[in-house]
Amino acid sequence: MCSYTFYFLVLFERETLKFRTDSTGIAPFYSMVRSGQGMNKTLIHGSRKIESFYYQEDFLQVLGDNYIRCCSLETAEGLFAGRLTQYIKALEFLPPTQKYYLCGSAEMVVEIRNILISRNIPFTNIRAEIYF
Amino acid sequence: MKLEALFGKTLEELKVITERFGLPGFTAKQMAEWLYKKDVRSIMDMTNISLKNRSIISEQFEIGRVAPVKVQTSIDGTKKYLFTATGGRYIEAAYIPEAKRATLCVSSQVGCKMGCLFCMTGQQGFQSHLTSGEIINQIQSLPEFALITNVVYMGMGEPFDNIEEVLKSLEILTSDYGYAWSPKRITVSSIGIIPGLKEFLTRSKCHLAISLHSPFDEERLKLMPVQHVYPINEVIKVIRDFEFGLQRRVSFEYIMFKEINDTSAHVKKLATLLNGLHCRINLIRFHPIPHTPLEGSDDATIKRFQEELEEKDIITTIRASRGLDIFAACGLLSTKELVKNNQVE
Repeated sequence: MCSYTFYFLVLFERETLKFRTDSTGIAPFYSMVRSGQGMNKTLIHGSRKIESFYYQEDFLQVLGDNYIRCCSLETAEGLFAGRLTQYIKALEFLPPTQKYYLCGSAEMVVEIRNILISRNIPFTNIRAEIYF
Repeated sequence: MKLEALFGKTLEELKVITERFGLPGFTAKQMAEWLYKKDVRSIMDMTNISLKNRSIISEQFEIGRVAPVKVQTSIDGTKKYLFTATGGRYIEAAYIPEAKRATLCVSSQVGCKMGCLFCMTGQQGFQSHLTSGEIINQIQSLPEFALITNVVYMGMGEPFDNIEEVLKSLEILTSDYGYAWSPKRITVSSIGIIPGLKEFLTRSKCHLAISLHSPFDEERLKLMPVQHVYPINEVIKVIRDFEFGLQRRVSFEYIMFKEINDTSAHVKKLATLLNGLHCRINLIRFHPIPHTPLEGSDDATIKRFQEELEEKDIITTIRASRGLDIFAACGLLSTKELVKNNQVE
């Protein structure tokens, strides 16, 4: 993960995956941000419920507007109302030279990867990590 | 009450059932013979078990066999069968006849979690594991069952992600109480989930195939997300550390992608990676799928790649593409549309 100089990070967290604070999932991103590697990176975090946006205060503090929460079942100020895939599809521009790191379920990863490839992102700029 | 399937249960599992009902110990063996040797379709047809005991078993169990619901036939003779699985889902199996053999490619899961960039099954995500019975049903319920010479676990799903059910199916296929097939007739193909690989190596004698596709870590990672968790170097170390003997075969599957993994540098790295390992490499033509940015290498490049590998003393074959016109060829099995529509034409 550290070999890249710039990330466009995407994370989707299924409601059924109950992450603890010491578990994987969002934890690698949290470690990265805590270690000062969050600069110039965007984290798009998807979840069904607001309570599942673990560490959101810390992410907001470090990443500011570059921390985007997509919530598909609940709404609140500052959250994108809808699935993470909807948010990605709605983006007018996706920089083709940047690195995209996808982390989540197989369904999400494949869906997002297909969107990115259809938007001319080289597959060599996409990394995927699937929960299984 | 939903009845539980007997088909796919090992002898030990059948013994647990007979013990639960207080039936004689030999009843389990009798049931196994009816299930796997005599092709019985109803518990009431197990006529060497008393009528009373058949009735007791039938209150909670059924045979659990299902016939294919659809078949497509390729111009090259390959047939793709569609079977139902638990939960109204569907799986595919590909029957591939050749001059002197007939291979059946079976599925181990509905969908797949692995998300490989080049695979159609991966495009549909993961829906469920298959039971041992659902795996074996693809074999025994095939109209060409008697003609099958080989079975490969290379259909939908990752076998080592469903290792216990896969191992149960292998036990039934190779045990005296089951089909009593030689393990040499069966090959299980995996992308290399190490815990499952270790279980498979120690608990089965069937052949092993590993999806390699690139010897370079970074490159493989972009094709196969599993590289994050189980790097190919570690997979090969497990294989090196295991004593295969003379009868058991290890092969590596290598799909040829144009200008990605088809260079002399790849040959050199493969030779280093597999140095000293008694194995073979199967080169596979890439069959394009929707959304893929990948292209297949041309035949001349594949042939040149094969020659370079053989110069490095690596036995290398080029696998024929079969059933392309019915999407039965390698990497093309999918029931994604049926997942969405939940129906069969």
